[in-house]
Amino acid sequence: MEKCCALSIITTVIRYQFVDMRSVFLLFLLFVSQLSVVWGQTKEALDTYRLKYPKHHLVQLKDEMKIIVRMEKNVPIVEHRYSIEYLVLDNNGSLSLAEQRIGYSSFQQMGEIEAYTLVPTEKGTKKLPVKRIDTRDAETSGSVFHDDNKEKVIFFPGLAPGALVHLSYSFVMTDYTFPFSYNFFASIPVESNKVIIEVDSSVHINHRLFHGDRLAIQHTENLVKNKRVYTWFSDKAMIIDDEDVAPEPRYYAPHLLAQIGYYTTKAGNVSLGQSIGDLHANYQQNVEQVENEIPDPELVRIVDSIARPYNDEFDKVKAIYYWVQDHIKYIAIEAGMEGFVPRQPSAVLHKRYGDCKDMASLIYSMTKAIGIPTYLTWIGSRELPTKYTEFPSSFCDNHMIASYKKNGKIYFLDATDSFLSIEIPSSFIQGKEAFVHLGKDQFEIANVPVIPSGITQRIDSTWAKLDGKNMTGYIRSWHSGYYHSLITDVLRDMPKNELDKFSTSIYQRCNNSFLATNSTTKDVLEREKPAFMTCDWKASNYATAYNNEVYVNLLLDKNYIQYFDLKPDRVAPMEFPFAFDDQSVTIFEIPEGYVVKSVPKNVELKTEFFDFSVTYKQDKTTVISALHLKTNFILLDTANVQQWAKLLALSKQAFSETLVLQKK
Amino acid sequence: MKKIAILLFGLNFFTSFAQSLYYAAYDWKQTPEKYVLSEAEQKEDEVIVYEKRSEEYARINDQFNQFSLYHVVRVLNTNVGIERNNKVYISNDALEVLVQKARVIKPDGTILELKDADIREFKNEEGEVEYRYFALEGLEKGSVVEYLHYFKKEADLSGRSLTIQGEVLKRAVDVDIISPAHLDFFVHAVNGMPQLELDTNSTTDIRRKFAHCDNVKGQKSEYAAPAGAVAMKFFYKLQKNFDSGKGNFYTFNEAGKIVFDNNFGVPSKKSLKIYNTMIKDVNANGGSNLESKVRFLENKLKKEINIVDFNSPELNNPDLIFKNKLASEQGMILVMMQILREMGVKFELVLTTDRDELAFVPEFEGYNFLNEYLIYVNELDMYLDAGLFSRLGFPPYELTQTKGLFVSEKSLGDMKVPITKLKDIKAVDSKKSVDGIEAVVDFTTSLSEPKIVIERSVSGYKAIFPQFVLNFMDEKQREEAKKDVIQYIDEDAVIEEISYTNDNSDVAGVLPLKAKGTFVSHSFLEKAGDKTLLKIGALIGPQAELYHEEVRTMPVMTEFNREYQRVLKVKVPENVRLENLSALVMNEYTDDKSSGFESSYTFENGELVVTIREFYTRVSYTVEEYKQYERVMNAAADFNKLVIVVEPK
Repeated sequence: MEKCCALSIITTVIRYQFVDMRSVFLLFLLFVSQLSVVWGQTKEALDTYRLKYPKHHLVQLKDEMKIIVRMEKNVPIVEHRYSIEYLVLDNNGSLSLAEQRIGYSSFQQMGEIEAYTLVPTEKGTKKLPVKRIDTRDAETSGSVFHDDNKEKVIFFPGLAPGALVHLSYSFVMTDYTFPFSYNFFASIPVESNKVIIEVDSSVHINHRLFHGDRLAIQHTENLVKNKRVYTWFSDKAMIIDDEDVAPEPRYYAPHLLAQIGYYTTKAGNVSLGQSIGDLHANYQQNVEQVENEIPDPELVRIVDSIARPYNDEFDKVKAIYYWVQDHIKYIAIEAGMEGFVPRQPSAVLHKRYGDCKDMASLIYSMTKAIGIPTYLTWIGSRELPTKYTEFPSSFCDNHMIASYKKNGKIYFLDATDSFLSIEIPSSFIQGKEAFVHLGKDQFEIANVPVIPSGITQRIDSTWAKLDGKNMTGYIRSWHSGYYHSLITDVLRDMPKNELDKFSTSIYQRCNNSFLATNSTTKDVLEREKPAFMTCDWKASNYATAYNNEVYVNLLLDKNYIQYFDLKPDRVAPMEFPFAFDDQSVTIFEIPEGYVVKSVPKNVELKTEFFDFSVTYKQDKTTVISALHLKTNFILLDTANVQQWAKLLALSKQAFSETLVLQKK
Repeated sequence: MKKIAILLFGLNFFTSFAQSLYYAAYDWKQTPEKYVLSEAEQKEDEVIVYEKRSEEYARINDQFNQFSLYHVVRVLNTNVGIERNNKVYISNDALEVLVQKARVIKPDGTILELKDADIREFKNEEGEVEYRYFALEGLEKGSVVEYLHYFKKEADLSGRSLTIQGEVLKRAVDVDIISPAHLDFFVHAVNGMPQLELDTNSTTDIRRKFAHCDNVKGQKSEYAAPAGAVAMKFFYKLQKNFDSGKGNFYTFNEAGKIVFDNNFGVPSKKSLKIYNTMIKDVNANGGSNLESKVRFLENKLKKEINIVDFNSPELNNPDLIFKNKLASEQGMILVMMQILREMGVKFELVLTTDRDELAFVPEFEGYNFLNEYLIYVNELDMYLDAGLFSRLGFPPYELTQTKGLFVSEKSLGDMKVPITKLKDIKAVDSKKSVDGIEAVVDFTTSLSEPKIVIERSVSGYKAIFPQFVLNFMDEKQREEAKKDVIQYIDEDAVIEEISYTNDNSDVAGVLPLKAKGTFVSHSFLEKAGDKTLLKIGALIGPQAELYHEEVRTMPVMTEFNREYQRVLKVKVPENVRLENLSALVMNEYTDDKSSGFESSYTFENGELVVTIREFYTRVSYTVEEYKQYERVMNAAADFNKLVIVVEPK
C-alpha cells in the first residue's frame, strides 16, 4: 500500500548504500554502520577477535564518516569521506563480503575509491588491491520506476579467515543543503564508530544526537586554526536484531543528524538549517513552477465535469480527490531534481500517471481551477521518525500530499492510496507532522491524527451448523476504514466468478478444506460506507464425534489473532499499521437430538492499549461465541510490549477450548 | 546463463546476394482498428487481440544478421490490466534497434504515441543496454496498447525457441521464420501449436515458413505446473544450405566437440601445482572412498572460493580463480573437472537446461537445450554442480528428470577425442530426500500439559539449503532459524529445550539435519469439558492441500522425489484411554503406486504408535493422472485434521 516518492533519496542513499546485494539471506549480515588498528600482527588479531566475537563470522573494525565543509567563492562545498574495514573471522564471513556495491545518485560526484584486501600469509600480510571497479545503473528500489542512481561494483580478492577488507571512498555533494547522518547501530559488531565533521570556521553545524543515551558516545567540539572540528566516537555500535513487528531502528537506536546551520560571508550570515523557515525557503523553490501554472483547458474541462454536480465546496474537493485516486496511476520517475520537484499538473493529467508529488500537484491545481485552495504539503512516511520540530531537514520527509482546510479541520489528501475516504489520511502518515505550504514564505506544521480504532472495524458474523463432522453456514461481514481500503484494492476489478476464491482465502474458517460459495459484495466502491460481504460456506472434518459426544471449537478463524515472537528481552517497540476494532461472532446451531454438555469459559484482558475478550452465550437453539479485539495504538513502547505478549498467551488458551455436545 | 561459445561457422558460404528485409515496411495501422471484445474476452483483465512475431535471417550490407519483429496489440479491461501494462520493460539483445515504438489508443479514439526520449535505458557494468523501459501515458479502462519493435541481432542459427502462449489470452498470433532462399530452417512446433508451413507464394529470394494461430488460451496458475515447458511454442534452427548442398548443421555431436575443445584442455603449470597440493589434502583428509573424497574436494572448493554471479574472463581462468578466490559458476566447473581429471576420476561433462522451461524434443538438436553445466561422476552415478546450494548427488532439481548431453574424453592413441551422448538425467531417488518426524506426546505426568518431544530429521534436497544457510548465521540467528525446523509444525510452540545435529554444509547431502525439541504447546490440545482432544494429525505439520482445484490443464511437475516418514507416539497412564483411533488408518495411492499415503497404528501397554509413510517416487504426472496425485496429497491434508480423544477411564 505504501508508496512514497524519493524526496529525500539522497539522505537515505548516502549512508546505507554499502550493502551486499548478492542474495537476500546474506543481506542481514551486512548492515553497515564502524579504531583503526595497526594491522601488523594479523594472526594475533584474528585470534583476539574470534575470542571476543565467537558467535560472528565477521567484525567491522572501522566505520568512519568524515564530512568536510569548506568555503569556496562564498559557497560551501560539502565533501563526504568514508572509511570502512572488516575482518573476516571465518569462511562464511568471506563469502558474504566478496561482492560489494556502493550506490550513489547524480547529487554525488564520486571521488577515488580505494579497495583492497590484506591477506594473511606465512610472512605477514600481503595487500591485494581491487584492480577493477565497474559502474552500472542501480536497480530502482521499492516503488520507484526510474531514477538516475548508479552503483560501483567491487569484488574483493583473496578473502579468507584473517583477511582484512578495506574500502574507502568519497564524494562531493552537488547541493550543499543536503543534511548528513550517521547510525551508531548495526547488525554485526563494529569496533570503532567515528564521525568527524571538519568545517571552515565560518560554517556552523547544527547537529542532534538521537537516542544517545543508549550507548556511550564521546563528543568533542574544537576550533583548531581556522577549522571547527566536531567529533563523535564510540567503541561499539548498538546491535540491532531482526525483531517481529518492529519499526525502523531510528525510532529507538542511536543516530546522529547534522546539517549546515548557517555560514558567514562578508555580506552577512546565510541561514540554511536553523529553523523550519530555512527549510521552507529551500523547499518552496521546488513548487514554484506548479504554483505558477495556469491550468490548461483540458484540466479546466475535467474539473468542471467532476465538480459541477456539487454545490458544496467540500463535496467538490472530495470529488476531485477521488477522481485523482481513481484515474492517476502511481508511477515514480525520480531522476535528479525529479525526486523533489512535482511535475506540472497538466502534464500529470495528460499522462494519467505520476508519483506522490505529481498527484498532490494535480489535486492542488484542480481545486485551484475552481477557486478552492488546497496546499502542497511535505510529509514523512512512518519509516522516518524525525520531526520537523526536532530537526528541520529533509530527514523529515519522503512524501508529498495535498492539504485542504475546512472549518478549522485539515484533510490530508494522499492519492497514492487509490481508495481512501477523504476523512482519513493514508495509514503510513498517521501521527506524522505535515509541513503545509501555505504560500510564499508561509507555512504551518500540522499534526496528522492517529485514526481511532472505531473507524477501522472488521465485524463478521458466521452462522454455523453441524453436518456429521462437517460444518456449513453463511457469513456476513463489514469492513470499514483501512480494512475497507485493503479489501477494495483487491476487489475493485475482480470478476464475479473469482469472488468465491477471494472469500475462501480471506475467511478461512475451521481448516483448509473451507470453501466459500455464493459470495456477494456491496458498497465495495463506496469510500464512505463499510464494505459488506456475504457468502455461504462449508468445511469438512472439523468436528470430532465420539460415543455420545461431539466436540466443536467455535473460534472458527484460527488465524484471527496474529502471533508474534515477543521476547522478554526485546529492544524494539511494536508497530502496527493502524488501530483496529475486530469483532467476530459465531452463531452455532445446536443440532437436533443434542444438548450442550459444556461451554468454554469466558476470558477478558483490558489494558490502556487494547481490549480483548472471548465470551460465550447459550440459548435454547444456539451457542454464540464472540471474539473482540480493539487496539488504540500504532506504536507500542518496548516497556509495554509484554502486555501484548500476555494477550497472545491468553488468546492461545481461549482458542483451545471446545464446546461439548451430548446426545439426548 | 552459460552459453556454449559457438562460432557462426558457415558464414563464409552464404552467397553475397543482397537481400532486403521482408518486413522492412511493416508498420502498425495508421488508423487503428476498433476491437469489439467477445463476452469471454471482456472477463479478462487484458486481451492480446493481435500478436506478430517474425525472425528473419538476412544478409544486409555484407552482414548476416537476425531481425526480430514483435508487434502486439492489447486491450486493457481493468485497473489490474492497466497496472500490468503501464510500465513496460523490454530486454535488449539487439545490436541495433531499427524500430521501437508504442502507442495508446484511448477509448475516445485519441492516439498518444510514446516519445523516443521517454524510452529509458538500463546499462550494465560493460556499458551495454540490458533493457529499455518506459511508462505508457493516458491509460484508461478500454484503452488499446500497441507495441512494435524491430531489432537487428547477432544471428543465432544454432537453435532457439519462440513461445507464443502465456498468461494472457491471445485472439490471433502470426509467426514467421524467414531466411534467404538457399537456406532452410528446421522448424518444429510443440504443445498443440500448429506446424509452420512453407510459403510457396513468397518471392524467389527468400524462404518463409509461417503459422497463424487463433484463440491461444491464457495459461492458468496451477499447483506445480511447468507452465513454461508446456506452453505452445516452436523451435527453429538452420538445417540446410541448398547452394553448397551441405546440411545437418548444429548437431549435438558438433556441440560436444566445441565443449570438449573449450573445457578439456591441459591445465597450466601454475594450476597443476595448486591441484596437486589440493589432491594431497584430499587423499590425506578426504576419507578412503571416492565419494567422500569428491565431497571433501567440493566442500573445500566451495568454502575457499567465492562464487559470484558475474561474467568476466578472470572468473573463468583457474590461475586467477585461485589467486583472487573468486570464480564464476562456469569457472568453478572447469576447476572441478581439471582436479577430478588429475585425480584420475572418470567423469562426463553434462549440458542441459531447466526442465520447467524447456523440455527436450527428440527431433530437435538445438543448442538452446545446452545452457547449464553439470559434472557426472561415473563411478558414483552422481552429479556435481558449481552452485553453492548444491552438493554431490543433489544437482539443482530442475536439471534432473530431463535429458542432457554427456561429453566425455576418450584416448585414441595419443589423441584425445570427445564422446558425446544424449542421455537421461534421472531424478534423485525419493529415499534420499526424506523428511522424518518422530513425535512423542507424553500424558503420563499430566493430562492437561503433556510433554511433547519432536525429533525432525531432513535429508537430501530437503536439508541442503538449511544446512548451508545455518553456516552463515551468527549464533542468535542460528537459534532462531533452527527453531523453524521444529516450530514449523506449530509456530506458537514454546520450545523449552532444543538440540541439533548435522547443521552445516560439510555434511550436506550425506547426513540428515536433525533437530530435537521439547516443548509445551496448546495448539495440539483442546479442552472439551473433562476430556482432552489431541489433534494428533497436526503433529505432522501443515500440509499442502488440493481440495478445490478446478479442471486441471497442465501436468504436474514437482521439484524432486521425496518421502515423509512420521512416527507419532502417545503415552498415557493406565487410568486413561484413547478413543477414536480407527480414523488413524488411511491408505491412498496413485494407480501405479508410485506415490502414496499410508498410515496405521498399534496401541499396546499404554502407548499408541502411529506410523505414516507418504512417498512420491515420481516427479511428474500427466494431466490424466492428476486426480490420482491429488488424492494422495489430500490424504495427507485429511490426516492433518484427525483428532483423538484422551479420556480418564
